[in-house]
Amino acid sequence: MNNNEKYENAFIESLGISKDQLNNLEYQAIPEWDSVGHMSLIAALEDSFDIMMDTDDVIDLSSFDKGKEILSENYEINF
Amino acid sequence: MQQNFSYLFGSYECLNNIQNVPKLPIFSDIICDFLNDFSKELMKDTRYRAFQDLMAYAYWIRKSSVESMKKNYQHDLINRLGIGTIFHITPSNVPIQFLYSLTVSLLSGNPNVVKLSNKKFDQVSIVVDILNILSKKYSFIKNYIILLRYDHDDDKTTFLSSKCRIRIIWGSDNTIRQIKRIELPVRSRDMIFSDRFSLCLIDSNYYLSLNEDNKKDLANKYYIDTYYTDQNACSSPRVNVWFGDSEQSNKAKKEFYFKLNEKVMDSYEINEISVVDKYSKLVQFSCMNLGTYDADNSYNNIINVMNIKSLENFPFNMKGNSGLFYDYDITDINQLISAIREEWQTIAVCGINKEYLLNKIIERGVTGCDRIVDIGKTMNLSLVWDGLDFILQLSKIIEYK
Repeated sequence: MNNNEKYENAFIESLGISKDQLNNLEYQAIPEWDSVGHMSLIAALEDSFDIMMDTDDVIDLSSFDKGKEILSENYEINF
Repeated sequence: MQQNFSYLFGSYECLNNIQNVPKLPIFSDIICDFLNDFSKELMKDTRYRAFQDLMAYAYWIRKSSVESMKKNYQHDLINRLGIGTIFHITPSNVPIQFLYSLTVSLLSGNPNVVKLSNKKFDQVSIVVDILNILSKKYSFIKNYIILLRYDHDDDKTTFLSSKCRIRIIWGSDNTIRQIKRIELPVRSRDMIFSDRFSLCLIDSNYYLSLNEDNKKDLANKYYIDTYYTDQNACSSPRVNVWFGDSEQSNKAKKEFYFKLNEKVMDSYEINEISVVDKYSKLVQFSCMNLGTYDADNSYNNIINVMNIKSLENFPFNMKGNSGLFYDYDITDINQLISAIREEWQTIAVCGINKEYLLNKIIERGVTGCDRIVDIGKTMNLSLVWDGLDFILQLSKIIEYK
């Protein structure tokens, strides 16, 4: 799996949603991505990419797109 | 002597053999791997999402979080290991307190006997299910975790106490007194977690300067600290201390409770028994002349607030639940510091510099107050509880210089 696939998969598996929901997806825009879903998402991303995320980044990860930015800028993950 | 325990996990054979089970190093690989899988099991089943406390726990024991905690004990990993069998007596007011107690002890390297309360919580069943699933991959776990229940019985408590090195008691002062009467082996000791009392400290001026979104966010955070556990947690604020001049504080209170009410109306259901209980406490307090109550501010009995005259004379053991709060005004932080008592655990702050407050407390040298956190963070899990580091308390060092 390449990084894009890993990233999408983390969202799909942890939030229990489908791939077509990922476009422009934002935190709290769907019921699955509430604060509990968010915790599950962070755990999944950390696990997939073997990283530990800073609290600030955990809070800033407010959309599907923003998450990619954060992972590439702060955790050297190339998409 | 085979005792009739009701085993939720583990067996009499394991219990009988528990003192022979090898103690592990702190943060051992097998325990960390086990907790990592436990976290994944909790997070993957969406049925468990309704249990925020279980989700918060799962998040806390996720791999990266445990690795981060492990780093704080870097210098001790080589020669610190479990101290012996730990007997946990766990309370009925917080459903997963037993799981927290068990976890810190496993991370410290110990085998455990956990007495659960007789109250049947869904969270307990979920934990047992997952333990059963994981015991296939982690067969050793049945030697390190025994979960059982029994009705109040001094003989059974004596039997279990005779097997332990440390007896951890979570409970009311009465429960603790009763259990402490039961002897421990000569080298063993008790670790006590009794009734504590927590407060909130809000800078009224700062609160008023927040924009609408931030005020709403604060209300959500305060809700987590209080209503989410029906104010059952010892870290739940009971008294809200307002720092500022009286005009600012009165204005801040009005807005604060208004915003809180919006959140509570949306998320909380109160029952008649809770309302009656709150009113009976308010009447008691009024009779004791401890403060004043404005019925017009009762928000349909979901939020009840009393203004108390004195923090020093406040009978902390009469705290309320399900939305009963006491307001107290100060114009000088020293008024709060001078009132600190042994029972105080957490001060949750808004608009107050935590380090400043910490220094004030240290200057004074008081024994009360073990935590200063932001509002919304009182339920955060940590290896330190009531001022004690569990890893250091439940393990021992082998000096090898």
